[in-house]
Amino acid sequence: MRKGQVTEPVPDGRRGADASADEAALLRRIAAGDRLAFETLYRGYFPRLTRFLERVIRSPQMVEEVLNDAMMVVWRKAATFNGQSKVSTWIFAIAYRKALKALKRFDEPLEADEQLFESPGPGPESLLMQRQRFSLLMQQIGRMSPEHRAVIELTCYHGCAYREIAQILGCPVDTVKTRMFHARKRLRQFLSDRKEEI
Amino acid sequence: MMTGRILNFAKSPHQSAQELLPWLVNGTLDDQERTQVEQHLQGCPACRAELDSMQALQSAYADSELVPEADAALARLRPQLQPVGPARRRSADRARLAPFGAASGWMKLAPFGAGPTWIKVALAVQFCLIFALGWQVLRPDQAGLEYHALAAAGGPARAAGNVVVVFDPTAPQRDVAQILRRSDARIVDGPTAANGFVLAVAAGDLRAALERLRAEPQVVLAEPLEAQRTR
Repeated sequence: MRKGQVTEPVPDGRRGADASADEAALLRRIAAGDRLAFETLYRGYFPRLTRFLERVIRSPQMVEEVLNDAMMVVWRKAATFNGQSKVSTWIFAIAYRKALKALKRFDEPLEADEQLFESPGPGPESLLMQRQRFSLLMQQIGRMSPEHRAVIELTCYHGCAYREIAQILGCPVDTVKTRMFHARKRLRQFLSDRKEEI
Repeated sequence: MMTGRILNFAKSPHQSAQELLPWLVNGTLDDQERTQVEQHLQGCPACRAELDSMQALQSAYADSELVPEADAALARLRPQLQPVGPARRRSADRARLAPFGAASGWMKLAPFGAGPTWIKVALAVQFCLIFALGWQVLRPDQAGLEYHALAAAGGPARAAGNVVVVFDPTAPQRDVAQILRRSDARIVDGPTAANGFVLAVAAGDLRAALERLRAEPQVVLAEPLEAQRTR
């Protein structure tokens, strides 16, 4: 699935007003049926949505299906975007709802898909330990609920503010903070239990 | 209303700071929140230790990531991209009322989505006949093309006519002019009996111009004339 294209992560939460204005202009063109504008937006969001959905769904086979379902909603509903949030918030919220629906449909397995989080390969000893530690952390995060995984992913990878995460997840801001707090507590406990292993 | 912009003073400063640490690390707190959390950090070793672990987690997350390419997934989605809203209604209207328009490109698939099989078969046959008849009416004759080619001799290297286009009959003239400008095209012939126009676009940009024209909601049909002329 991965084809070797290395990209720097784009922190959605810190993307500038210009980027959001450009994307809003693309949405207006999409609302008028402009397929080239849609393809531009699709390509721009594909890496970020893939990464987000991989972490929330944990099933690589389902990621593309859910992503395309979400982007079909963008195609059909572009005219309903009212500018009250950033375009990225709107699109991630659609993708998140599609991900939860898909998880309900397929009964999410309890155990993490360890291949998703496997260590990327050997390196210097300290780097290897760091990767093993990260790999274990990812496995532990994979065992949390999709809601907790989404909060961690949107905070740590996509650089979203907690208010934006609340909009994406459709929940109060205090819920976002509480989910993050409990997720961190679990990770701390997990690392403390395995101090000798890593 | 609780907007989240003001710190919740029902919580202790320690608790509030603990909760906000992840967003201090990712740099998205507002000034007031950041100041309060940073002040708390100066006197709280537990929060500083927590801050270190959050920074480690976020830097691990921020590592460059191998991502799949969009092309294959987009190719699988493309066939599902049907016009929406007014465009979809126009497409349905064309299928019923404007036979030539109904045969245009991917839009002709819209009526096949539902309904009994006999309707689909009848529509398929109808489309084939309509397309053949419509093309006969719309096709500019060779003499016409040659006449314009001679007229253009000595001018810029733009072909006399290499694309045939049918616009939505309800499209205002202003929109048509904008479409032509965006596609760097000009009308060299038409309208024909079926409201078709022959356009001239720079020969090197033919494929790109066709894609641009087909992406316009008010373009019902855009086809090259090159094959026709070289036969």
